[in-house]
Amino acid sequence: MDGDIENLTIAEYRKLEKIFPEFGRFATRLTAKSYDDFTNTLYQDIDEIISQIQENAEYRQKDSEDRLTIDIRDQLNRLGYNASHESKHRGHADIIVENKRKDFIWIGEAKIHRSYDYLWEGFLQLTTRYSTGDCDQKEGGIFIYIKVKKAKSVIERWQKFLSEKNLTNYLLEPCKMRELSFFSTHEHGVSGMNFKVRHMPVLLYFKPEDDSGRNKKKA
Amino acid sequence: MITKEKIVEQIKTDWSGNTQSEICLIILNYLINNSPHSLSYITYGSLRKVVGKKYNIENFLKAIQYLCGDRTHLLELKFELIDGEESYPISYYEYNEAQKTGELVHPETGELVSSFEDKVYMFFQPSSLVINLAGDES
Repeated sequence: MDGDIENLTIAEYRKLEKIFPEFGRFATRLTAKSYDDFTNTLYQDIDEIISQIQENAEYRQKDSEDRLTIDIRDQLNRLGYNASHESKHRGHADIIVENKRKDFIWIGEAKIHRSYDYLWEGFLQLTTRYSTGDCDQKEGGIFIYIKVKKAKSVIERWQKFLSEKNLTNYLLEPCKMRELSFFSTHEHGVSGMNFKVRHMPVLLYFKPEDDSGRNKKKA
Repeated sequence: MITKEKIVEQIKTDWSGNTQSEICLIILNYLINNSPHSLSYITYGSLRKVVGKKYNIENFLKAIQYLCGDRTHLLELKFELIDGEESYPISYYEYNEAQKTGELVHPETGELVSSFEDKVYMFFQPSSLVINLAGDES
């Protein structure tokens, strides 16, 4: 498709972007000038990775938290991010993404949804152990692996659970990129500044009810 | 200290034997085996020739974005505006602003550049890490 492009202009790069969307964010990823630029691109990339995982939910039923999280880390690394799993940062966070050009850090915690108390533990680990909430790490995220049906109702209950925790300056915002994700903001205990958390469900429920699905169960 | 062997190991681990791993290693060797001076302006086309057409464009693009990223950072992405006979380096800040506003301010005249997407070129240079590695290899 690239024919004989010798010198790549932005216009030609745009054409390639239409065919290979993930390559389109390549220059944006590298040229992020603010923390918001960095997370904006990171969240688009994460959403695409989540979408790929969800497409293969049937093969993910026995995957552990670590297995799923390592796959997300690996995909981020292939996009050029410097992402690590369980590396040391005030403890061992599930995913740390470091933007070395700007010294930005984004920390992600991952939990298979078992109970809201269990998700709350992840939220506390992220917000009171691994992050400082300083301006170089003013956002983080929680991957919520949902193996039960109706993820929307899990998320709604999780939102209600969070809102009842009386977090200082707590605010909930919808996510414009993905309807099922949302943002919470509250005052970080370490920095005293507002800390934003992106809550990202990963939909892994898989129980098809068509003929072949039912027959598989009987076999 | 980061050595070529460590980078090779990381590339192989990150791509687990996929095609992109081969492409990355071809580019790594190309960067290390040529003098940094001769590589001060690596075009998209020249990288494509180095890698060879047997690798499809999707895998080639994936390898390039990986090599430019923080993970290995072997390639440095650069922008330049070519306006008539003159060329002007465009900083990441200027590129970022142009993407957000849809307008590029000429770095010298301060005027808006019309159809800037046709006039701004992307090219590559070896990163400082590669320059150090090339020095160690010679």
